[in-house]
Amino acid sequence: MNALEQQYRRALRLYPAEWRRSNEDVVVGTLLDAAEHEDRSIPRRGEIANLVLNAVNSRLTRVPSLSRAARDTAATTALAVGAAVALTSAMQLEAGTGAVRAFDPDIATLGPFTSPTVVVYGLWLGAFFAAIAGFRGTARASVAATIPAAVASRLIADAEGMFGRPTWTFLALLIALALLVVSGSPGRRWPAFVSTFLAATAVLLSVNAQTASAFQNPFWMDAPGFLGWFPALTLAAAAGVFARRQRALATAALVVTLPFTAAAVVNGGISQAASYALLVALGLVVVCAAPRLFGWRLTLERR
Amino acid sequence: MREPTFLVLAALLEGPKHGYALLSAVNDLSDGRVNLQVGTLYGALDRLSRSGWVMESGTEIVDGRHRRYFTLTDTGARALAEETARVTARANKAAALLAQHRKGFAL
Repeated sequence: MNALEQQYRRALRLYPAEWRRSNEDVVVGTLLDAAEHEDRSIPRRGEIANLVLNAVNSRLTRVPSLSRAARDTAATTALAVGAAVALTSAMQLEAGTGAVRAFDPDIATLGPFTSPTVVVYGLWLGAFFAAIAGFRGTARASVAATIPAAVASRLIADAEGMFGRPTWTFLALLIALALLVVSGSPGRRWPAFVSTFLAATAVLLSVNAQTASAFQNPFWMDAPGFLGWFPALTLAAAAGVFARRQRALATAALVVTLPFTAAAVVNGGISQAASYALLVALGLVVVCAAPRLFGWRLTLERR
Repeated sequence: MREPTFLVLAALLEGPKHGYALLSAVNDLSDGRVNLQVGTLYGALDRLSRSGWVMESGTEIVDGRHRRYFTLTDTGARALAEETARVTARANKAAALLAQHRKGFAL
């Protein structure tokens, strides 16, 4: 095995094991054929990155057995809900900045903002407005950019000892929502975005009002005790929608609920984790088993 | 239908092809404009196989390299015919509008 083949096989390790078993040798053969015809002993420009991207895409499209309609609806819902999370978190966090500065004028901040996470919020809101304006590609790209931005913002805030450090749970929730957006195609109808955004914002603001103050606990999902209501309500809503035979919407609601439920399990403590875990399991059973139980169409083909 | 998908299906009209032969055929069909990456090609072939538009039609090993041949199915040929008709109709309409535009410009 020469160095080029080794490089190709290393890149292909990111594909699912099942895919590699049946395709790896054939794909490596084609890569080496192309290299030989182009008289190369190193990968073509962008070739390894392309393999990595296709490997990630292959995993994203294989993990959930969702129809394209369900994935697209989940992407639409996740985009609106993510923007609502960004808006409410930004409002709550930045509202505390004045109080913090009064208490400790030397505390590290990012200019007028508490931390670089403001960039993540900005990208989410930018994506939301781009989607409403019909620029769906821009919206997806902006949401995709929130993933590295979220990780970088926490690392920078840690290094600088900033007050407004987002928790990893909070960032993981935003990243999970971003992955839902990029694994589907957000819809074209702006009323769907606006109504979901307004509903999610109303829920999050009311939740924020009931939980810890912004000064002590700026990241609302770290306050235990309330978050179980959110998945419970959305599960009930999903059941209602499902009863009306809108299966894609019901599935999407369940899928978007899962990151919130997972955050509740992480932050709610042992006693609450059991009940939330039950909700998560119920959601997973419905999401995974429903296609077989009800004979949903499983194709992931984009036409 | 995206352009790479269209070109892959069109390339298979000539008969069964393996991976590298498909890459070359797509490049020729697009007059050198579309230079598919191998990862993209197999991603497209995965999707096309799942939807029944192409099927595997044999494998061979040449100089120690594995080759898998792909064939266009009847369903794939129908989808390609429909897309070709759609693209042709669109191009014809645009050509007619362009002719009108030129005429208006000349006046």
